[in-house]
Formats: sequence, structure tokens, C-alpha cells
Amino acid sequence: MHETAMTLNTTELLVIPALPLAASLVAGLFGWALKERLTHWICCLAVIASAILSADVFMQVQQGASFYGNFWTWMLSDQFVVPVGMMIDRLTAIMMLTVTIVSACVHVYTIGYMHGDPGYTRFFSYISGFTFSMLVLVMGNNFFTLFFGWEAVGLVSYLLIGFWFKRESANFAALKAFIVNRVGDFGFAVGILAIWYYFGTIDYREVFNQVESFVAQGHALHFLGWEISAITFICLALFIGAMGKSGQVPLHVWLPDSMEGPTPISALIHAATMVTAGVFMVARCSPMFEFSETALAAVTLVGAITAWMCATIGLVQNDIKRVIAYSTCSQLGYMFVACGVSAYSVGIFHLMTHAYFKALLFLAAGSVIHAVLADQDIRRMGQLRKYMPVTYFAMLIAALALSGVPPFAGFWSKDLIIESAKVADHLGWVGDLAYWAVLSGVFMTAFYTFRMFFLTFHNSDRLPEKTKAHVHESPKVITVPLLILSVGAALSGWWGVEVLDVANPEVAEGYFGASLFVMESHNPLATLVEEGHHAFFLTAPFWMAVGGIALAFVMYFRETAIPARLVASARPLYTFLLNKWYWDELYERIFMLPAQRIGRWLWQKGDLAIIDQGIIHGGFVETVKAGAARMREMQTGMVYHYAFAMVIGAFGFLTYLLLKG
Amino acid sequence: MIVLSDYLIVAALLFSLGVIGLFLNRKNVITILMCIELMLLAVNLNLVAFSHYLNDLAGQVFVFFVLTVAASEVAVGLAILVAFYRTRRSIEVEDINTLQG
Amino acid sequence: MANVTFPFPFPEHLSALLPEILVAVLAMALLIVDLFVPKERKALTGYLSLATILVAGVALMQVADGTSVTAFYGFFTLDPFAVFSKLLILAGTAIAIIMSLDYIRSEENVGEYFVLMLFAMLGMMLLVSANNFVTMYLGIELMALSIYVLVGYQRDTLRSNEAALKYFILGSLSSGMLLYGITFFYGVTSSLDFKQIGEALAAAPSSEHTAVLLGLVFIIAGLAFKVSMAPFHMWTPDAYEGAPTPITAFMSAAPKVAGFVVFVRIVADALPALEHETVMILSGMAVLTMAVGNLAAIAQRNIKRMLAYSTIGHVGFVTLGLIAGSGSGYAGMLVYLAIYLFMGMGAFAVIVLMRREGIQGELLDDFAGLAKVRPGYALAMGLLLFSLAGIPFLGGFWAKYAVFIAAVQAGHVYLVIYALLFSVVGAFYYIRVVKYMYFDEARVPFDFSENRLMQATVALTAMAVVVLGIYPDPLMELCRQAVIGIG
Repeated sequence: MHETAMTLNTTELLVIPALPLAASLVAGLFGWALKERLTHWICCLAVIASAILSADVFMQVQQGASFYGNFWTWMLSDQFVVPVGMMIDRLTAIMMLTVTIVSACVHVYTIGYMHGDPGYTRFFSYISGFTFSMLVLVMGNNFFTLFFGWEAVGLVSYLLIGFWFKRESANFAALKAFIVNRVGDFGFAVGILAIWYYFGTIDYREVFNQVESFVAQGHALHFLGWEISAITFICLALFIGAMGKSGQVPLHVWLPDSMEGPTPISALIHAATMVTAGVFMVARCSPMFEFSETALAAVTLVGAITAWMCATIGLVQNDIKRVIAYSTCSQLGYMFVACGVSAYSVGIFHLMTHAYFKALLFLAAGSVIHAVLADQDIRRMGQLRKYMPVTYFAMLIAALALSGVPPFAGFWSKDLIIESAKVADHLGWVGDLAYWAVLSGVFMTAFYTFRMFFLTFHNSDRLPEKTKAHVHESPKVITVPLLILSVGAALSGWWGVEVLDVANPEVAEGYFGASLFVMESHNPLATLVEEGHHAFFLTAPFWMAVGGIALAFVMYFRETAIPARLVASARPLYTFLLNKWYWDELYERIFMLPAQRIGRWLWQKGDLAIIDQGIIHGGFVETVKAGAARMREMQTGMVYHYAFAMVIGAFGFLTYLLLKG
Repeated sequence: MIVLSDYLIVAALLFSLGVIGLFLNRKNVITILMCIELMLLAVNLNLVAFSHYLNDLAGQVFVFFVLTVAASEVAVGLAILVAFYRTRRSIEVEDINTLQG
Repeated sequence: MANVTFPFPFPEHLSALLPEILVAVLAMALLIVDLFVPKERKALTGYLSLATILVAGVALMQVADGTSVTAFYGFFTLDPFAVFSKLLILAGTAIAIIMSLDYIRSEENVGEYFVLMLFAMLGMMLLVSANNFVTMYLGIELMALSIYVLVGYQRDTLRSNEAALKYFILGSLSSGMLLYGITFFYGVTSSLDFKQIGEALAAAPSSEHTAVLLGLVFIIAGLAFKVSMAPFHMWTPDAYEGAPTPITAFMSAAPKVAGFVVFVRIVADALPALEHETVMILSGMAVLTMAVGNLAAIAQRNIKRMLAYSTIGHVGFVTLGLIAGSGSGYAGMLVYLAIYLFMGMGAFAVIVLMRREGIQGELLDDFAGLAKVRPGYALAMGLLLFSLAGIPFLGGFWAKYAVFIAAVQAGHVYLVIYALLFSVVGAFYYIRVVKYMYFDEARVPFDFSENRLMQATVALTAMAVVVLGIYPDPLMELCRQAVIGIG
């Protein structure tokens, strides 16, 4: 195979995102006229065609083809030109493939799941629009298209979380997702602005080519007495964006709440694709992150904390979707750990395998929820195996893959992450911490996954009578996507390592080629090869996973009385975990209450009339002090206070200027 | 011998009286109108003094504009005050208090 | 034609004043015509006012030739900058008059109302052409005196009267401060012309530094009042709440354009020698303004008051362009003001549409469930609010973008980061209204005004923010052209 400069067909590339966009517009604008049948046909066919074309592109890219070019440019000012173009390389291709396949499965599944919902066509319009936005996000060739896709997927996510807007909790969750993501997006926007400020361009290729000489010049920022190198600042700002989008501590609070949206959305947006955009972005910017050890350490640390903490929360949750949601946060933490220790290829690999098995897990959970009349509490399920064999089978594969049992997908990618973290000596204590966090995380993951699994499908039959009469296996449109994703969840790990060669220690020679950049000095995969691979049954992660499953088996399959006793003996810990480490309460204390209080304070009339007391009862010093206090306590409705503020304002500026000389 | 700075000091005193009267006075809105007049007179005094010492007529011409505008300003102000009195039955400064926050 | 000799030379380039002269004459004529319009057909006066604005617009396009002309012995400038801002002012006034057609029907003396708006507009047109403190003062006062009366137009309503009284008292104070500052500049430079003052200040001896600073602070304070910069903003929420809603809309857009334009002229022409001090004062004000506007808006239940604080917040952002002090900064301000004119007035127009008989219809709660009753209005309002919040790919995003980029280029990175922070805060209260409209149940039955012209205005402004969001280039280019030669 020779690496010729083969170029992909431009039309084909444009059609891939254009199909879902067109479907979305048709469904959104003419959905009322098309009726349900026609709408879902149009959307499903468009996305399936898009998936087939992506597979074609993927194969061509594997042969060495690539694409880079601008379609048009937007002149915004003399210095700032916004290009709209695409960059298709191997990183992009694998993302496109994953996104379109999962999206296609979810589209078909939606036909069954949302059947009869009053917002049926609207829903299809949203998810096709989401697919388009996500494709723009991954296919773009500059930070502007990245930002566009980033905001667009966020918007659709916001709309879909609040899809059932009659539920108060759904509205609240949507608002929460929106606000938390604004915090992340603020960092992201600052990062992009800084890139433009320092590099004078926002084109990936031009920026990445300049990075090395830029770092050599030693640009630095001074902020509140700190000195921070420009590249670290940029990377950290971008990473704040990634934390928001990918649900990393402390910006993770919106992701579990986003489960208020319909289940297909949880599978597509809040598990498989959108939330992984942060990981994709870090990998895409590997040429920048590689030059900042501080940023890499931050990525590793945040990832490790999230992976561990969200796993602990997952241990005790009773809502089937929330268990999976916390698992998503935790697994995203694994991906960031991989990126942080410079094993980007492994991070993206885990992103791919995770997309298949987590989407499968959600869709299977959706199938269960559908069957038990929209109840999501696993305490009111049990013995569903008898009623839903196909769902049972799909869920079993997904659970095994998530727990990291060979030969299922999760084992391959997760094992590589843990091994990479183990050898990441250049990060010092952060590397060690990350290793122990992700290793113990495996045990907890296996435990909570199988806890949920046994409680749902085995254990005692705790279904309410009314539900029992209704329980049945889901229709074909739901089970067929499950089976397709099962294949991915079972085989994508083996396929990635053995066929695509994603874990080649020389990244440039493996699947990813030149699309990722790793510095020679800290390449964990190369270190791994030197130390030699062990057979899987000799590694710690394998036994952790087996141990977790075994414990779950004992507690929720055999001796089902143990959990209650355990809860009773460790009540404070249980409460702490059940309340998700009190993050929501913390935020309420720190942000919500003071914001309300400041707002009220600015708004309330001050009855103290400080001026009266200051001037009449106090001396000059008091008057000045009182005047300063008065300045802040505004809008009393009294015209003399307003006039006083104006005069003090003018004299304040004057005094300042005169004193400064 | 009266020098420029004497005029400026008198004007500054007048202006300060006007400004302080504006926010110290809690009783009658009419007083506020008078304070505004006082401020504008200080301005005029400044302009005339500068104009004289600079040997430049522009300042004195400006004074005429200021005087004219000040007259119409008071006319409008009184009209608004009358309308306010009709609905509120009071012209105390402290009673101008329904809009706040 | 006979050769007429005047006792003094006839002013050169008098034609540059043609639009202003036409507005003045037609407005006074309208005052007389209005006497003969029967009481039940007072809307006719409104339509005639619209026609006057149209005439002024046509005249403006006739006299504007892309060059810079000085008329009236240097008291009046007509350059592309003035032309562009006059067009904005005309558009803003026209929209406000359209909004008034229905709203004001129940009031008395409707004719005067429209004529006063025309006079306020005339004041603003003078203001943006001023290159001299005398012209500026006359423009400001003509504008302000007309608006004082308009704010208090509902003479039987206490809120309206009180708003007018407060605005009048504080406005007079600000005029006094402005004039007092001007006298010191005059004393130091012996001129009232912006450009000459600029040259003289650059050469002023250091012994006069105190007097110069005194003048500087007071002039900036006086102008800051007109554009509602903190701490000179406090009249804004009260006056906005009490005024008739169309006047609130008018005040939030057109006078801000005029105020900022004259601010730019003064900063660029008269104050280059004091650039350091000017930037310092303006930065301090911008920091305060953004904080006050965006924070206080959160606590509001009355939507007019909320939009008043939001206007203050936006003024803080526009100030960034002034601080940047560069061509791109001034162009960014024009972009911002133009886009704000559409989105701000559009949002107020929706409020006017929702006025109900007897009920003010201005509380946030009144928007609850709007999406279910009138999805069209809700969509338009939603777009306008998202645009005000600066969500990308609506007009408001580019407005912020234009000034932020200019400020970054001028090296004010921290100010921009601060501004970004507050635009995040700002997004919160706009989105809250969207939440009310889409997610809450309606509490009170709606009773909408069905004026076609109004509905068209709302639709057009909403479309404008979308179109400008997708394709902002022409507007940006226009603004860049308009500021060539400034500063």
C-alpha cells in the first residue's frame, strides 16, 4: 500500500452532512403535512445513506486518501477571515463512522420508541439536525466550524432535554444544562479568541504548524501576578470548554439531569456522540496539548477525579438511566485520562467502543422503560429476563463490554487506558493518582453495571400488578437496532486493535497516522511495548472487573439481603453517595443564593438612608464611607440619591485623576 | 483688582450650591428648579469671565443660547411638575417614590 | 434670478441642512394641520409624521454624497458617519411612531405627541452633525426637552408623571455638569470647536492641567448620562418603566445612537491629547455599567424595567468600542447600535402588541404560555431575545463580536474577558423570558393588538436579526466605510 496524495470526492463529503440537514428541515417545516410515516422514512433513509457514505469515506481514508480545503470564506474584518471548510483525515473518518452508525440506529429505534408522541415529527427534525451539527463539528478544518458545531449540538441538546416541556423537571434540567454549558463555552470562546490573538489564524493546519516555533518564542501571560505560558493558557481554556461539554467534574452536574430527555436522546447525544466532543477536541488539538505538560496534567487529573467520583455515585443510584448516566461521566473521565497521558489514539479508541456499548445500554434500558410503562426505578423491576429475551441478551453484552470483560469491546480500550496511565511517569503524582483512580473505577463499574443488570432482569419479581399485565418484548424497530449495536459492542474492540491497529506505539504507523501528534519524550504506548504485554488474565484490570461482577452476583443474585444490611451499617456514606456528593447543593449555596441575594440587594430599597445618618449624625469620614456604601446600594427610587450618585461619580473620577497627577 | 480666578471661584461656589441643593433638599421640587437655575448661572458666569479675559466673543454668544434654553427648560419642568401635582397631590421630593428597584 | 445681496454672506453649503430644515418646517406645519384633524382620526397625524420622516430620508440621501461637508460657519458637519447615524435615527423614530399608532389612541392631544417625536428626532439629527459644543448643546436640549414631555405623556398616570419629573431633574443636572465642563475647555482653549479644542489641548501648558481634567470629567459625565452609563444611569430604569412603551422603545434606541455618535466625535476630535485619562474614565464606567446592567436585570419582574437594565448592559458593551478608540472600534459601535436598534425595538414592539385593556401587560408573568396562544409572536420574541443574549448566528452575536474584537486589538484583553463574563450572566435573564413563553401555562387570557403595520414591524425586526446573523458582512462594511476619516 503506498501513501499517495489521494483526495476524497468533494461532493461525497458535502452530501454526508447535507442529507441529515435536508431531512431535518423537511421534517421541521413540512412535518405537519407529511404525517408520521413519511417523516420517519425521510429522516431514517437520509441518515442511513449518510452512514453508508461515511463508511465509504472511512475505507478510502484507510487507503491513504484525505481531504483538506475551504469551500468559502467569510470576510468579517481585514484581519479576521472565517473559512468554512473540511479536513478529513483518519481521526475525522473514525468519528464520522461512529456518529453516523449510532445515529442511524437511534433513528430507527425512535420509530418504535416515540410512536404516538405528539411531538413525533419535531423529534425527528431535532435528531437529524443534531446529526448534521455533530458532523460539522468533526469534519471542519478550523476552530470556527468547531465552535459552530459545538454551539449547535449544545442548542439541540438543550431543546431535546426539555422536549417533554410539560414536565417541570425537564424544564429545569434543560435550563441547568444550558447554564452549565455557558460556563464551559465561555472558556472555550476565550481559548479560541486567544488562538486567534496569538496565531493570527484559526485554521487547524496553520495553527498546528506554528505551534512549535510559537512555544520556542516563549510567549507568556501575566494574570493577577501569575505568569502562565500562552500555550498552557490556550489549552486550559479549551479544556474548560471540553469539561462543560463532556460532563467533567465540577461541570458534570448537568449530564445526569439531562436524562429527563427521551431515551433515544440519552443514547445518541448524552452518551455516544455530543458529550464525547470534548475528547475529540483534545485529540484534535494534540499538537497543542503536547507542548503543555501543565495542561496535560490538568486533563489527566480532572479525568481521573471524574472517573472515580462518578463511579462511586453510580453505585447507589436507583434510576436505571441515572446509573448509566453516571457511568457515562465516569467513562468520559477514562477518555480524558487517556488523552492526558498522551495516549490520544487509545482515548479515541475508547470513545468509539464506548459509543457502541453505551448507546446499546441506553437503548436496551429504553426498551425496558418502554415495557414497564415508563417507570425508571430499578427497585420496581426484576425477572424481566422472562419477558424480554432479546433486550436481556443485548443488555448482557453491553454490560459485559462496559465492565471490561474480554473479548467484548470495553475490555480492549479500557485495558489500554489503564496500562497507559500506569506508565505515565512524566506526570509524577498525577499519573499515579490517575492509575489508581481508573483501576479502582473498573471494580466499581463492573459492580454497578451488574447491580443494575441483576436488579432489572434477575432478582425477585417486584413488578407492580398493573405493569405486569403490560410487560412484553419490544417491537422489531426497537430490537433490530439493539442487535446491530450488539455486534459493535462485542467486536469493535477486537476490530480496533487487531484490524485497524489503533494501539501501535508509533502513532504515525498505526491507524491514526499523522492525524494525532505525540512527543517522543512521553509516549506511553512505546513504554508499554518495552515493558511487554501480559496475557489478559494476569492483569489487574481483568481481576478487578471479575471481582466487581462477582460481588454484584453475590449481593443481588444470591444473598439479596446483604445490600439492606450494608446500607444500614454505613448510612452516612450511603446518603452521601445517593445525594451525589452534594454537588447540586454546593452550587446552590455558592452560586444560586448569592446571585439571588445580590440581585435582591441591588433592587431593594435601602431604608437605612445612610446619607441622612452620615451627614446629620456623622462626621466627614462617616460621610465618605456612607457615600461609598450608598454607591452600591442603588435605585432607591429617590431622586436625590440618583443625583448624589451622579455627583459622587463625577467627583470620584476627578479625584482619582488629580491624585494620579 | 478682580482677576479671572475670583470669577471662577464665585462661579464654582454657585455651582456647588446648586448641586448640593439638588440632592440635599428633601422638601420642595420648586427648590430643585431654582438649584438648576443656579447651576446654569454659574456656567454663564464662567463663560462671560473667560470670554472677557480671552478677548473672544464666542463665550458670550454661547451664554445667550444657554439662557434661552434654560428658560424653555424651566417652562417644561414646571409643566411636568403641575401634571405631577395633579395626580400625586404633593410636590415634596420624598413623595416621588413609586418607581424604584 | 436677481442677484440678491444679504447684509452678511449667505451660509455656504446650506443644502447640507436640507433634511433638518424639512423636518423642522414640516413638523411645525403638522402642528397646525393637526388642529383640523377630527379627534377620532388622529392616527392620520401619525401617518403624516411617517411621511415627514420619509421625506427627510429622501432628502438626506439626496444631499449625502459620500464626502465630508461643513456648513454654517463650521457649526455643522455632514459626513458619512453623520449620514449613517441619521438613517438609524430616522429608522428608530419611524418604528417608534408605528408602535404608537395604536398604543396612544386612548390618549388626548395625540397630534402633539407625534410632533414632539419629530422634534426629538430633529435634535438628534443636529446632535450627530455637531462638531461644536454650541450645536451639540442645542441638539441635546432639543432632544431632551421633547423626550421629557413624551415620557410624561400619560398625564393621568402617576408613574408616567413621576418618570418625567425624575428624568427632567436628573437631565437638568447632567446638562449643568456638561456645560460647566465645556466652560473650562473654552477657558483653556478659547474655542468651542471640537477639532480646534483638540489642537489647543495638545499644546496646553501643564499649569492648566487641573482645569482641563475638570472639563474632561464633567463633559464625559454629562454625555455618559445621555447614554446611561453607570453611575449616571439611575434615571434609566425609572424613566423606562413609567414612560409609554413606544417612548421607552424610542429612548432605548435612537438617543443612544445620537449620544454615542457625538461621544465618538468628542473623543476622536477633541480629546486625543487626553487619551490616557479618557480611556481610564471610560473603562471604569464600562466595568460598572456592565455589572449594574446585567446583575440588576436578574431581579426584575417588570419586563420594561428588565429591558431598561438590559439596555444599560448593552451600553456597557458599546462603550468597549469607544475605549478601543480605533476605526474598527467606532465601526463596531455603529454595528452594535444598528443591530441593537432592531432587536431592542423589536422586543418592545412585542410588548406593545401585548397590551391589554386595563392591564399593563408588562410583567414577566404575562408572557407565560405565549407560545401556545400566538406561536408567531413567541418565535419572533424568542429570536429577538436570543439575539439580545448574543447567541451565535443571530445579529446580536456579531454586534458583540465587532466591539470585542476591536477592544482586543486595542489591547484591552481583560476588559473583554470581563465583558464576556457579563454577557454570560446576561444570557440568563433573556433565556428566562423564553422559558416563560414556551414552558409555562398561560395565566391571563391574551388580548392582542391586531395592527398590521405593527405585526409587520415585529416580523421585520425578527427577520433582520436572523439575516444579519447569517450575513453580517454588508452592514459591517457599511459601518467601516462610515467611520473613515473619524479619529
